[in-house]
Amino acid sequence: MFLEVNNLVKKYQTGKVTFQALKNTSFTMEQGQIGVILGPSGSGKSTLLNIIGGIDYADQGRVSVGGIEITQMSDKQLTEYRRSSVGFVFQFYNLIPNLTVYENIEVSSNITKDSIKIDEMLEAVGMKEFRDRFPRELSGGQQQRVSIARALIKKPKLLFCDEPTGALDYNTSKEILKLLQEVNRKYHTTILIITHNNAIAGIAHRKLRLRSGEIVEDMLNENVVSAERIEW
Amino acid sequence: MIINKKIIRNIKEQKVPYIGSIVLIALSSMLFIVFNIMGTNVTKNLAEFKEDYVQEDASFVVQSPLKNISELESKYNLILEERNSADYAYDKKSTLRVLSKTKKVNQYVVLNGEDIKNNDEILIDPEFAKAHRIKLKQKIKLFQRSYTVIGFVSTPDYIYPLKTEGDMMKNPSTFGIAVVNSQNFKTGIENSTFYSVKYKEDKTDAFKKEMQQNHTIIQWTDRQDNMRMTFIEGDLKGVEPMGKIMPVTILFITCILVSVVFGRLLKQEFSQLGVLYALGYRKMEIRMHYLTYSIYISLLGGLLGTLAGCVAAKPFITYVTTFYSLPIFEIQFDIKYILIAFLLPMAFLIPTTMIVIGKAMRLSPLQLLRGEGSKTKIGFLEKKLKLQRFRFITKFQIREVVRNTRRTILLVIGVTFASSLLLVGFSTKDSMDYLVNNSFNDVYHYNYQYVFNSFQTEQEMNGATASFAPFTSVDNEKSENSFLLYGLSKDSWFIKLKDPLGKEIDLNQVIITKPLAEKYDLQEGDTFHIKSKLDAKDFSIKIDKVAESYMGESAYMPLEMFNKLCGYPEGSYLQIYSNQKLNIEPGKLLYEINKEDIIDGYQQIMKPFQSLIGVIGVIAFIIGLIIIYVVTTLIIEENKSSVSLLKILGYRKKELFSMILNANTSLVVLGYLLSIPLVLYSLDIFFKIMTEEMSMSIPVKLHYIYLLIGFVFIIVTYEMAKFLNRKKIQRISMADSLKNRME
Ligand SMILES: Nc1ncnc2c1ncn2[C@@H]1O[C@H](COP(=O)(O)OP(=O)(O)OP(=O)(O)O)[C@@H](O)[C@H]1O
Ligand SMILES: [Mg+2]
Repeated sequence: MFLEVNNLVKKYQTGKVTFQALKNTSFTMEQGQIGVILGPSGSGKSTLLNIIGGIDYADQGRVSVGGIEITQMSDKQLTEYRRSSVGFVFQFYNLIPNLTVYENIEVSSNITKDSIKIDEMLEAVGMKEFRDRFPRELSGGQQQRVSIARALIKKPKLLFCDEPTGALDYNTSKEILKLLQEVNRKYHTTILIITHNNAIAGIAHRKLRLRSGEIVEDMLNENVVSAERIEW
Repeated sequence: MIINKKIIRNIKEQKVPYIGSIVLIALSSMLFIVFNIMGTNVTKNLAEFKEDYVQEDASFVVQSPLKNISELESKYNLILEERNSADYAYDKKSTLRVLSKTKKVNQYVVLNGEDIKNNDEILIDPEFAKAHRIKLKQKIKLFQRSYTVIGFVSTPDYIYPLKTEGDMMKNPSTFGIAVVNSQNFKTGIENSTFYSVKYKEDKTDAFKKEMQQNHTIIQWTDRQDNMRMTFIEGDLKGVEPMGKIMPVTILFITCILVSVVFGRLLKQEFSQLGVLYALGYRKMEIRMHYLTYSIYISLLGGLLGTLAGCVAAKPFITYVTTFYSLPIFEIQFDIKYILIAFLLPMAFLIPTTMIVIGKAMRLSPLQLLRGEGSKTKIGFLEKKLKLQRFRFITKFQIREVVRNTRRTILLVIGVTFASSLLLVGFSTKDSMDYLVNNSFNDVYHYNYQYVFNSFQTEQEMNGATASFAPFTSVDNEKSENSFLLYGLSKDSWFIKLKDPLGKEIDLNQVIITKPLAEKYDLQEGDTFHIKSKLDAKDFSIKIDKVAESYMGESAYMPLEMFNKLCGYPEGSYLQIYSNQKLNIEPGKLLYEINKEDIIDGYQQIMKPFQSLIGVIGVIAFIIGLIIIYVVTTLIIEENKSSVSLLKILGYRKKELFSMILNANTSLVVLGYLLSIPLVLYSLDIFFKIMTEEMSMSIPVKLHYIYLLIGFVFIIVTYEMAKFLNRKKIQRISMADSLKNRME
């Protein structure tokens, strides 16, 4: 298996109260798949994704990516892991406001040896004509495209999207999902998407549901549809 | 008001900029008090000393003694006192000048101990005593007689104890003065007699004429030509701008700092502001809320600085007055200065804050609620930048610098100011070094100089003879200052004058020094109409050459020509320059100078100056560190979410440090470079003000070694500030950018 998550436990200590955000969470995924994580607010989705993405630490359990265990890694090793293997897309795009579109993508290509050409990437996400604009001068959907371009420019093995359409309207959301699907086909990138929206599960090969830190549903989707055809 | 509770919380959260502002304000207030209280007290004490203790207007030496002093006093309406002086070789290197007790002019002050009553008692210069470990009540032997040191003394004509009037450097380890009863001079001590005069009415010329006609003036020194009395005045003139420019500049920098900090604070709180509006708070109340910050800061900074200033003022005054032998009658803490020091910060900061708040106040509550204005606006400059050619990191740094212009200006001005402080210290030292080395080692090549108290005609085999007399310009009578005209015998090997190209000038012609040429706007080939200060005799000389020398305004001509023009006996001279010690009767001498003493004296005087440079260096370091540190902190604060994002993207620690912390390197370098011309230019003006009343000019010099040291110093400060901020970057968590919307 490309991605293996085994008995992950994450606890948060707030004052005297200990809160368990992840309770023995386990699942696996194959390379080149799109997975969707569903679940109510506070169920631990982001926590799970952050640990797999090497941004956060687990208290117990293991995560291995391509056979390498990342839960054992030092800070430095995690940095290298994120640098070489991981791409992130966030709900609020998180572009650097005083850099242009082009430069926001350069932020990422700058630290990658074998990156895709920025102009090619801009073309791919349909943002070529906006290359010299600043994030403020773009719509939410356009910003999200830039953020996807930023994540993909370094050809990551894993792409993590935490509610990528959470701040977007219906049509724009669908376009972004379409883009993610294309990326998955074109670059064979493994993608994990967090969402509140059940309908999005239609484009995924795998559907996971979290409740109070536990996987309550883990199913294969035999009938993957293209993003254009999903409705909500 | 309840919302004011958050002020303290805010300040606690963002300690660095607030503490930085408070320290800068405190520094400003402290400097203001220290310099102004010192300046006024020293000026006041000096004035009192001059007035109440009857400082002379001139002193002179004549060939034949005056017998009719009281007659002359009433005739010319002046006070005249005869005095004796004898130079005693206290030890191998040092001279103690013993003066007779005064009653009318130049009355002395006993600083410590008692006044002399008996002939075997002596008062002594405290600095000389300190340098030679002489204690009160100790017995010392002078001229084969034993004296008891009964007190320490300060006299109005030796406030800055120099061996000769034209000297620059005092040196208590080689020269000092002492006062004894006049009877001591009647027997057994070889001494010279001179006269001190204080005018009550301006009948100077007539009086001088009579002196010249009936007694033949050998030497005449007006007060304003006497460094012993004018040096301190030049220095005080230099202190005055220091006490104003430094504090005001620091406050000005603080204002920029505060406006940057508040600009940022307000931006963060725009939506809160909107909520407050919506809740029904009035504009005035909100304005007051933000003003409270700057009132707190300026009150606290002002208070700390005022207290520190009051504590430091007294030792500073003592230090200055001891440096000059000036008695302190009383120290007054002028309430005016204390109030200004305390309130000035507020006068600067409140308007600054008002302007910053005013901008926010123009937005409507709705705009504020929507967070408009707190979003990053893309400036005109940012849009226009074409950065394609640059490396990504460079682009990032350029954008960072352009993004917040106020912050950038703050950094550049802050660094320029700190560097300037440092370079002013270095350049002053370098200029003085140059002055001394240039004039003494390059110009003068003698070891001993003997000045006689009457005209000599005997051939002297072991030295070159010369003569001199003070002159003034006839056409430019406004300038009271005199310069010395020297007559040099044919073989005057002891002096080497150079033209501006560094070529040696033949001495067999009329030469004037550059300072003199500049003062009267003279060029080679011009005719110069001059008048003797001794006998008012006037004549014109044609200037053959102008010599490059900063030491004093003086003119040179062959001795024969000099004697002829002045009407002095043929072949007569007043000075001998020699390489070896000559055996000349002390009674014939006005004084003798040893070149080593002068160089030594210079080194002595540079010692306190070096510690002063040290103190200035520390102040520069504090200011530089605060500004650079605060600006770096602000950059990190403003880039918190970007840094967090960069961390997520896999940027390494080192890469982050260099991207964020090195953004300012070029600004720091720019700030430093700007300080160089600024320092050179302002020192030039400063020296001109200082030496206005002195017969010399100080060239501004700044050796590249000092430029290098200054640069290293600023870079070290910068690295230090960067180092202190590394932790802040490390502390930013990746989760920061995940939870929040950016901007
Ligand atoms: N730093 C923290 N300190 C304490 N508790 C935390 C922290 N971060 C998350 N939690 C808690 O852990 C639980 C899981 O949080 P998580 O962010 O993973 O939820 P989520 O499923 O992503 O929710 P949402 O859909 O709202 O984004 C929540 O109950 C949250 O309160
Ligand atoms: Mg979440």
